Amino acid sequence: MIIRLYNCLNLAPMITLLIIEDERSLRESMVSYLEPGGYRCITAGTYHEAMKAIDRYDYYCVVVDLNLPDGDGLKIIRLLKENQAKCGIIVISARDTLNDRILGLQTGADDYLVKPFDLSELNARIQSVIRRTRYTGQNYVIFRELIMDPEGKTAVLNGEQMELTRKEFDMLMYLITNKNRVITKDAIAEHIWGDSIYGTDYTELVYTHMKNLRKKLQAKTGIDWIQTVYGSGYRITEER
Amino acid sequence: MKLQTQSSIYLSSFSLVVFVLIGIVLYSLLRKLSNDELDAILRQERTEVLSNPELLLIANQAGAPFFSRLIAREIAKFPGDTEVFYDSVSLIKGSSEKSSIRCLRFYEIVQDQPVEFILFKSKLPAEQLVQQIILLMTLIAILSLLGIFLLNRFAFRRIWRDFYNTIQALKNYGPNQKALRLPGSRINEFRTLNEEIEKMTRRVSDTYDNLHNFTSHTTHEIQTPLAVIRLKSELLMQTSNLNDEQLQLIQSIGDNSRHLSRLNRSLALLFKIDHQHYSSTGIFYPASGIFRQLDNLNELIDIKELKLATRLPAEITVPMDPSLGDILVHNLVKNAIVHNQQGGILEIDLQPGMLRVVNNGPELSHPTDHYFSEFIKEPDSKGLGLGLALVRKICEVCDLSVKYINADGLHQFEIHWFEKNNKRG
Repeated sequence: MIIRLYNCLNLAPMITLLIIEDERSLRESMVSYLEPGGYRCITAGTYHEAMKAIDRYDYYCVVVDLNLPDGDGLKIIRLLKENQAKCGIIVISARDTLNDRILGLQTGADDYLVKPFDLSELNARIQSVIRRTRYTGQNYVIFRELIMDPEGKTAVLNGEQMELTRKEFDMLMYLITNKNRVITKDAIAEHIWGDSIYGTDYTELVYTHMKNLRKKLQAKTGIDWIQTVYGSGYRITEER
Repeated sequence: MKLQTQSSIYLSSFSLVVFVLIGIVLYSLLRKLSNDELDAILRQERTEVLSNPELLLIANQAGAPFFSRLIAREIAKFPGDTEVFYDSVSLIKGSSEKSSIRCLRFYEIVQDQPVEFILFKSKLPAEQLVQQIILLMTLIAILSLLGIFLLNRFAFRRIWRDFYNTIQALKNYGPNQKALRLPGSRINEFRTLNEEIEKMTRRVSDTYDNLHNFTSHTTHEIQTPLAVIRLKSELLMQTSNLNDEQLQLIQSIGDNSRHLSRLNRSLALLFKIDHQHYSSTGIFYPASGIFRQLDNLNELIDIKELKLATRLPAEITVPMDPSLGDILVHNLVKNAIVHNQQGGILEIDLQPGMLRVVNNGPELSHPTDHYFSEFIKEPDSKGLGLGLALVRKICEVCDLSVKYINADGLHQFEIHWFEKNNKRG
């Protein structure tokens, strides 16, 4: 079996994304967050621009807003499914009912993200979709001495299997996906527990899980990879 | 009480009183007439008696023509030429029963001896006649009452038909409908009523449309700037060389924009539920929704060391939109966990037709009937204060009943539903 190893940051060839969003500020924010992660981002602000942009590249992932001033995002999804089968599609929409989500996914989207969202969450979803659509079969995420298997939810550090709980694994994966970025406790909580965590005292939950995760990493590496960013959240860095 | 019943009662009572009064007057009148008649006969007989003075002498003797109806008694002093009519009773001959009689007492001097005469006549035939007349009258009164009652019912239905049509139209009227169009009426008052109702529903409909547009535009339009604030604050946080104070400020902006967008989404959800954006049919399996939420929040349960007891038969269903069902049980369960105390009880009991969630928790500072209102929350709560408002709203639109009971320091929420469509395994 060919085992493909790739690093989220240094993907080669260059991963091209198409971002279709009519609100310029949102579009620019997404680009600002995603491009330093090694993506090439093509943007479209209207349905027509999106139509033109679709043929220009072989996209790894298309992020599409459903409400466009001159057309329906669902049409773009249908077209993409016909022309670029390997392209992952993520819907970003303010429509948040179950029916909207089902409709988006049934039309061919791989994921559905309700606005407003965290950029770190969008980034994690994009990477997850690309892994699922492009790198079928077994693939790993490598970070420093750590090899993570997103499918099997296992992590190997310095050749040794790490004993991580499901939530610790997801948390570590989320941090690595957004490495070198500050990730807020709220974003982590929402990523791990979903919407229903809101309104509960989740800071303590995040703190407890993070403490255990750091202990486990430190026990194997001797160094604390995860930094606490005062009052805000956490960051995992590649710096040695 | 129905208007028709009330009206029938009034009319019947009034008619009854009138008939009774008429009866009393008629009875008195008939009695007086029959007495007058008897008095005239007695006076006539007196004249006859006086024209035959020998009769007076043999008045009390057997065989006299007036024997049975004339009594003569000698008295000491002549009181004058007076006559007195009065009622009395006498024993019926050959019987122990008494019969009313009409008497005429008068005085004469017969052979220099003052004599008191009493002429009397049985009132029985006259009384029998009065009784028969009264009986007939009662019968007529009863029939008239019945007639009035039936006529009232019939007339009532015809006259008030327009009114009941209006009530029916109002019953079916919802705030999200267009203004009512009511038919005209021959009765002025009802026509005016219908016109005024039409005007009022037009105003309601206009207000609703405005509010609907305003709310949907606001909730939608507010999302984008909120998303921008959230994304920009996240980007800002990534910039290097930020000191702790700056990071905290950015975090605060992010937190508040997150809170605001949650609030916005929950309010939009309330609005959507309220305006029938969800289907009214479907089958929801509460057990799976509750298990999912318990599983998702199990660490919170662990942290609070809650004593969890559940009885969740998987086959029990609720006839409602499944996505609303999920929101309902998620909010109930979350509420019971979040507002629980350290080491408290969390009991979830699902039975056909009923879901009960019981939890410990401090006494809340709000009156119980406010629990389901929007934005009711304890001062240190991190939530939006919309969870139970959503529960109430969902129950309202899905024909479920929800009640809160506080017993022995336990908060108890019960959801009941009509169990007809339940499949039992």
